[in-house]
Amino acid sequence: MNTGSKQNSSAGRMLTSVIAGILIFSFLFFITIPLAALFTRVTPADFVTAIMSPAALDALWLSAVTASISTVIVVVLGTPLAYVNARVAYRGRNIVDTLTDLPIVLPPTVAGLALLIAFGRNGLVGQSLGVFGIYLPFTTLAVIISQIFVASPFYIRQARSSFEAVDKDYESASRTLGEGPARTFFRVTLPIAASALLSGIIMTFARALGEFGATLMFAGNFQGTTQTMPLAIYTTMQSDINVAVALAIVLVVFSFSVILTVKYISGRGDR
Amino acid sequence: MLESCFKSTLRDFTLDVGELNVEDGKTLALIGTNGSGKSTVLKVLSGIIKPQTGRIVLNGKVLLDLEKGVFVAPEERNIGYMFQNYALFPHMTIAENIAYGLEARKMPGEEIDKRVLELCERMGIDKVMHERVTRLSGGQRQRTALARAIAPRPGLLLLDEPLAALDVRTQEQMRRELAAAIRSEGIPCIIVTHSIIDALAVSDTIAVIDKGSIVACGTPEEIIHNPSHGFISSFAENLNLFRGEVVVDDRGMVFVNVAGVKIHAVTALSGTVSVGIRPEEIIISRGEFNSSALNTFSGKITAMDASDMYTYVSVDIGITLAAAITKQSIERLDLKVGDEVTLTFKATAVQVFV
Repeated sequence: MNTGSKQNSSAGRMLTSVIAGILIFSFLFFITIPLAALFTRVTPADFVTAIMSPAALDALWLSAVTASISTVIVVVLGTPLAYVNARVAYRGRNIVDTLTDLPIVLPPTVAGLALLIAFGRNGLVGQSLGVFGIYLPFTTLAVIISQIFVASPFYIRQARSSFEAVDKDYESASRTLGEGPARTFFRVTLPIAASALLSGIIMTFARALGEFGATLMFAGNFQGTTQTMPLAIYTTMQSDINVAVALAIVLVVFSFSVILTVKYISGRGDR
Repeated sequence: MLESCFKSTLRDFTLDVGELNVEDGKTLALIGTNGSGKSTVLKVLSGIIKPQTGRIVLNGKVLLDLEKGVFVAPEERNIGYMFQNYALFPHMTIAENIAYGLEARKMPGEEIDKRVLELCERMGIDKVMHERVTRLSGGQRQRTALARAIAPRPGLLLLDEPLAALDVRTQEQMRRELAAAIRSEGIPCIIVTHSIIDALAVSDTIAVIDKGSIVACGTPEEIIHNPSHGFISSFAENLNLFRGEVVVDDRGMVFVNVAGVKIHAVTALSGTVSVGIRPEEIIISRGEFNSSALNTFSGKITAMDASDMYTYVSVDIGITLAAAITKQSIERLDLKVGDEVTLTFKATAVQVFV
């Protein structure tokens, strides 16, 4: 009787492991196969030719420049907000938090439409800007604005929680030792939060690099001025698929390295 | 000289300690349980928390006078603050931590290096001064935190539980070092602690704080020997605190004679001293057993008080000693009031202080 139930439970455990194993491998297979397919589609020689094509080079350069600029702007504008939200309990903080998080769940097409309506020729802000001869849509600046709109939550969320993780006593200690609030922030808070902030910066850059929907609607798809890598992939897919695949491979490899780097940085932070 | 008087509303009660004055070279110990408001006193004095009303004057300089709208920011108060968990900057070395307050005061680089080295040598941390603080032992951290707090020559020193993060053995040594370091600064000092032994060892005045108010205040002698407040009397009983004379016999053995009971101890002090024996360090047995511990006494159990972790068993051996015993041990030895038992503890378990 007793041995029977023991055998039953060990058979049950084995069945559980087998089912779990099948589910896990199916999922990993499902993720890996399409990515692997990209790498089998082109030969190394094709890859080099495709990546050196004008469309690909323009897209690579534009993406690198716009994503870098957007990331810098997000860090400069987002850091004070993240710090204040981490340290000051004010009325309406949850609303502000929700607002800054919103672009994460919002479809990028909504962002693109909103930006177009705000900054378009007859838009809320666009009309006044037009008076000064400033016209934002379908310019490189529009690409940067779309990227900031969509990618900023990745930094601000991460920055807020990194600042929250810095013990207030470090800041108090710095103050009693004679440094004012600003120097305390730069000499103590920022260095202690640095590695966590860095992973937020990397994630924001990666998200800006992958921006597609909002850019297409608000900035358009012009090679050299607004056609970033994701847009170039979409466009060349119909004309020269090798270029699309080559750019896709660059994005996959880059994104993989980014996530791995962030995991390494935050893992080191935990220890 | 520190003169202060303030009120601050906390979550559960109002912190109102009345007049809190400390003279140069004197140390005030604020003793109380967790949540009594004792750390908040330090935060108010240093300017980290702004009270509702109050006035703080340090060496004639008004740091806070809310009626006149004066509030000097923490960075302009020149107060040395040692935090409970030390709050050493983890991204800096020992030397960089100690230099921090000197750099903030724009001291020339050469003088900073000199002062940092001098402090590190005095604290015995000069060999590790270029290590990151994350690699240090508890004692080294404690010394670094103290050095950092006193490096800019503050006008007031505030210490929040300076010994709580150390293990018992390190505490004994650091207690002596801390007392010496505070005395040599010649500035007013306030130490916050929940340990009566720390308070007795380093302070000139002890103030007992409970729910934001000072309920007893006096010299260490007055506080232990006239325990007017229940908090201290429970402390004094449970800590086995006594006054006695140091006696050295012809074989060179050191005792403290407490009301005729001779307790072996390890100390360099002489004359009248205080002794404390932690109840956790005392072993109860039925009959003597052979051990390396020098102190063995027999007596009758006079009382047994059960608390959460331990039962405190009081035994009359001429003086009444309390031993903290687990419930399992009580059952195993079948201890009852009136039983004859033997108490055993090491000479090193006896803490001796002035």
